[in-house]
Amino acid sequence: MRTWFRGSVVVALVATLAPACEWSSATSSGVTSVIRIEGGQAYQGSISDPPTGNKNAHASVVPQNAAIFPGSSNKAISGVVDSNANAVAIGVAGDTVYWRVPALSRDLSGIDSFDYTAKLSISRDVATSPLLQLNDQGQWTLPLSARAVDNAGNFGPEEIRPLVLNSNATTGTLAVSLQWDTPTDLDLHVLVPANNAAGYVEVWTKHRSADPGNPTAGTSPDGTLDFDSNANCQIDGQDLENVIWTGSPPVGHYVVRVAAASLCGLTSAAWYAEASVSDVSKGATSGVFTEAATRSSAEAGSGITAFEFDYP
Amino acid sequence: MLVAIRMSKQAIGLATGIGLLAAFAVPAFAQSAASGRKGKEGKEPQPDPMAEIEKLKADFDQRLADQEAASKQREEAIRKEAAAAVESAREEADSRIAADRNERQADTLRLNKALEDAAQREDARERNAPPSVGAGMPGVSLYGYVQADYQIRQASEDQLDSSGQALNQDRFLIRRARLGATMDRHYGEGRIEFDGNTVNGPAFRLTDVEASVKLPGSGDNTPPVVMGTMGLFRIPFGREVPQDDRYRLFMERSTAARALFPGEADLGARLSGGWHFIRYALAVMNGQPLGSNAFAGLDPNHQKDILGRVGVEQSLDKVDFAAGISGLRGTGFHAGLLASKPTVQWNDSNENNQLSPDEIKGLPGVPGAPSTSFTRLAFGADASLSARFTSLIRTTLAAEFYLASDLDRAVMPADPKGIARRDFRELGYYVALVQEYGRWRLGVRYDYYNPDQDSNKLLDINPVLTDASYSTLAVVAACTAKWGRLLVEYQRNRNHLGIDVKGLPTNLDDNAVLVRGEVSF
Repeated sequence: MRTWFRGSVVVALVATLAPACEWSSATSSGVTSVIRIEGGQAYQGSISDPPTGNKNAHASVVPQNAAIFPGSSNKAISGVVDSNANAVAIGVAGDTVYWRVPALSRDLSGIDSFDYTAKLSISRDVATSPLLQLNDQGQWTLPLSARAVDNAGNFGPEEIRPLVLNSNATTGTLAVSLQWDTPTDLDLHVLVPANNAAGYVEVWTKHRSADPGNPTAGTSPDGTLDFDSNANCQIDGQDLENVIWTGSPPVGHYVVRVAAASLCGLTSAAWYAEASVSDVSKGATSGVFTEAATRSSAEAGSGITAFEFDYP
Repeated sequence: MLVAIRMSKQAIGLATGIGLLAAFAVPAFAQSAASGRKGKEGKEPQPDPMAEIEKLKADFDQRLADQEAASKQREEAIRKEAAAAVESAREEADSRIAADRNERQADTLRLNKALEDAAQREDARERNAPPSVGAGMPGVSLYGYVQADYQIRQASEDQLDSSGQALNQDRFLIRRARLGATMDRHYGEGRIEFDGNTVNGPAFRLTDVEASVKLPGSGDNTPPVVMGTMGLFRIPFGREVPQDDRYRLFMERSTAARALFPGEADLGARLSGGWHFIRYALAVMNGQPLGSNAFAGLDPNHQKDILGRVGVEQSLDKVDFAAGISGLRGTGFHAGLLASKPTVQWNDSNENNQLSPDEIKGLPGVPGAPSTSFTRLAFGADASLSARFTSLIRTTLAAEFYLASDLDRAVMPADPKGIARRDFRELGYYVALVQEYGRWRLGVRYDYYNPDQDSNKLLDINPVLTDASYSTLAVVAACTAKWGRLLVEYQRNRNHLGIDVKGLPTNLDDNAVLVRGEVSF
């Protein structure tokens, strides 16, 4: 019995210590990368890490449009590798992973060259990435690198193509935003002061304009709800709704409400609502909606009052 | 009796004789006296008085003898009559006894016949019965219990919420139906327990599966000095989380316990034991309890939660005392987002059922967002004091305190990597008093939980704290037996889930009355 007991202790110790030993694979899901490339395989490490083993292997990367914004998706890129390589590695210097894309189509314009095409997506968090670099024009750029890879796995020299970051931040004379962090159907309601009987116009999904007589956006985007994200739980991935004025917003008292139309089968949704005047916060609050928040119907006046403010 | 009768008859005869003597002697004496006077007057011959007396005496003796003879005849007649009655009664008794004997014999025959029939039926049943339950080894035992509830909640409505869930909670439900088996050997222990319930519809799941190796304590009722366990078990944090549901008087755990440790059980490995009055438990667990809102029973990150409790437990003559402190350091998981494809959205803003160009919006696809992890911490302290005043009366006072960071996994799930981009500091506590009187129990508990002590809103750049706390005052009465309990509990609940006329968070009336019938074995 004692032998059996000692044996059990040894087995338990081995089982406890075994997970402490680290092992990993060269490939990666690439989910932590600042970029993602559809059609490529992610590998651990920065694009700059592998030494240049084949100086004669060259590759180019040509984005269709050099401008990017946080969350831009499926941006077409293409390029050519010369005869000394059959794949291209694409990444950003300093990133956690790089991507390999096979180049299998013979390039019709060059002898012994091969083409590749892929789809590039940019992380939603790119604006806070330390990988961004400031160029001479004062613009933030993401240095996209391409290196040819030969049959033996040797890397060629880097070719860098900076991508200019355009902010898609919700700015304006007055901007009211609601964003949340789960694929759920939340709605932004903004009570805008107006010269009507009620004294305000409620801008929301079914009345997108701050114009009392025009429930639709009309020709002017001012004071208009940009879209209804995840409407009826048809997930669009935006998780963001805005009401923005670029001109002169109505003067008076504003009320910002947040409603949970549906949690779409999930159990909670954390949200953050903010109003800013010329990029200066006028009011903000955050919260977490659980099932109790879905008791009210998705109608005008529903939801909780997040905060109130006066403009100007 | 005959002697008494005879003596009384002799006394009557003697009295009668004396009376007769007096009756005859006195007139005779008077007549003699009168004759004497006449003789003296008429000179007639006088009878001899002594002869007269002798004659009277002879008559008296004769009469007395006659009376004695008559008495003897009467006594003889009575004796014969009594003997006849006795004989008659004996014959009647003999007859009755014989009848009873015959009846008993008939009953015996009938019962024997019934017994033989029953034995035959039992033999047939055993021949045709399925195999009976048996343990493969000694030290194995079965247990189980059922908690059937009826609840009335103030927030119930005969409606659906906007997610399609029923708002009515006035209903019967099976809160817990547990069936388990344990194995207890000198160096090993095992347990497996299943739970069925209808809380969110019919469900059946594992709640406790343990495989343990141990170094036993010195006595029968002492905990093992050290015991290593792997499996699915109750989280060793605080007092009420590891407590068996059969032994808790209040219907459910406090709000703080249900928020921080939903489902009470998690998968992992544990080292526990006791020495004298010291108790300890240290565990490494997945960090996703069975009641978590997401990834329950799984582990989305490779880091494990490390937690445990160190305490004391002492039973004196009439006082039991237990106290401890608990700690947790774990890793939470912020789920990333899946990529989406470009879509086109049409919203019939003017509700004219016509497609207008300004009602169409193109939505670009967005890449997914990576998942990240975050650290969560918790500290707890608990104490309980129980005093027995008599064999019937016992009073227990218990309290527990929770202080945590980013640990809420049920009530208001904490995600510092989410949209709030800040830590959530949780605070909770409860104080409970339980009075026992024989089989009766009465308990009062107040519990408080704030899932976000820093809940605030920003008004003109000025942060204003808001209250997101929950509190419950519960009063419970129970009648207990060895095989079960009947409990009635009233809960006065306070929260911030309602919305007032200005749209601000307010209390959602949700007081509740719960009735529970419990049977255990």
